[in-house]
Amino acid sequence: MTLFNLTSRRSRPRPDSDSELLASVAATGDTIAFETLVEKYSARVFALVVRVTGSAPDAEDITQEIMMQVYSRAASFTGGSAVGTWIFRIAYNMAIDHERRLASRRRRLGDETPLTAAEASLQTSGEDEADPRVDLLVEAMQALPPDDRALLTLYYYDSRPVAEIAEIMHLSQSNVKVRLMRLRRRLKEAITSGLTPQT
Amino acid sequence: MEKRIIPGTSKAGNTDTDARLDALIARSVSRLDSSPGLAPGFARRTATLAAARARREREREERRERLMARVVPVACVVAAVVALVIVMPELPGALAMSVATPLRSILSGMEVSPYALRLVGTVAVVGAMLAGLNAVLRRHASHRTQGAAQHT
Repeated sequence: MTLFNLTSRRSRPRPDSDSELLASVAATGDTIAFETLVEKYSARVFALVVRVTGSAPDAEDITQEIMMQVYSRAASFTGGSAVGTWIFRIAYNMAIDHERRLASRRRRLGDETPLTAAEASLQTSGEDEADPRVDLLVEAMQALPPDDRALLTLYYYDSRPVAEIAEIMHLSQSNVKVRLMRLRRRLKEAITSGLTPQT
Repeated sequence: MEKRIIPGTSKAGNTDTDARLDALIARSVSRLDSSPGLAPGFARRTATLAAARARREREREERRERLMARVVPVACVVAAVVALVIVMPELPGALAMSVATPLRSILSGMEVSPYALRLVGTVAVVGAMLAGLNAVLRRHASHRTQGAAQHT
């Protein structure tokens, strides 16, 4: 009986666009539509969260919590932005909140040496060992605050336009551009100073 | 990677050097995560969990509404009694006397007045209401405790 139900649900014509999927989730709690959304967005959301938090297990938990928030808040989606932007806004907020809570707990416990994204990845990744500039950049990125890492991920990894990034991060477009410019300059300096022989 | 103009890099847009820096940054951002990614079946698991959580929340909401439907009328009655006592401070004394007088009459073998019996009835009804309210509140507290225990 369960198998029959599952099969008949799966054979139903599926809504195509993300907003239709989300509307179906909001109206009837359609888990199949929700699963389609999760399949489409979870990897990219995870990519953002893992770069903000620096811990893959934490990032997986947070990604799950983000997607569950998407399910429970589906009815509150007004269509003012793209579904992807809306999901990434939830993801960004939750990842940054997690980092703030963690930082505050570390301060309370007197531990001021967090394991950052770059440190975590450096423990296992050796892909770019041949290029010392990448190592320098990764090292520089590990010193950045979580929201700057999120900005770099959204722009360079997820290739999102500035307007969308501004919406996700609750910033103005010009603010995003200025921050990108400063980050770029800072990372460039990190390479230059790292490659210059110390005298 | 798609070549995009980053503001502030150069007046005429990205130079070759800027484009190379962009490519390096993009590679470095990619390298910030070397984990295998999400576990297989993540989407199915998340959908099941989300549906279960939504169902639990719905049930909790229904329970709360049912409880409110029971508690609010009782609370109104209690509030009315309290208000009555505040407005008529002699009421508790009169009620006590209404219990004491017929008791004394019964004990002394005298006839019991119907007025006194009505007052005794009122006291009994108010007492029963308070006992009912107490039972409802106790049951609510017990549900909450059980729910918290299941959650943990």
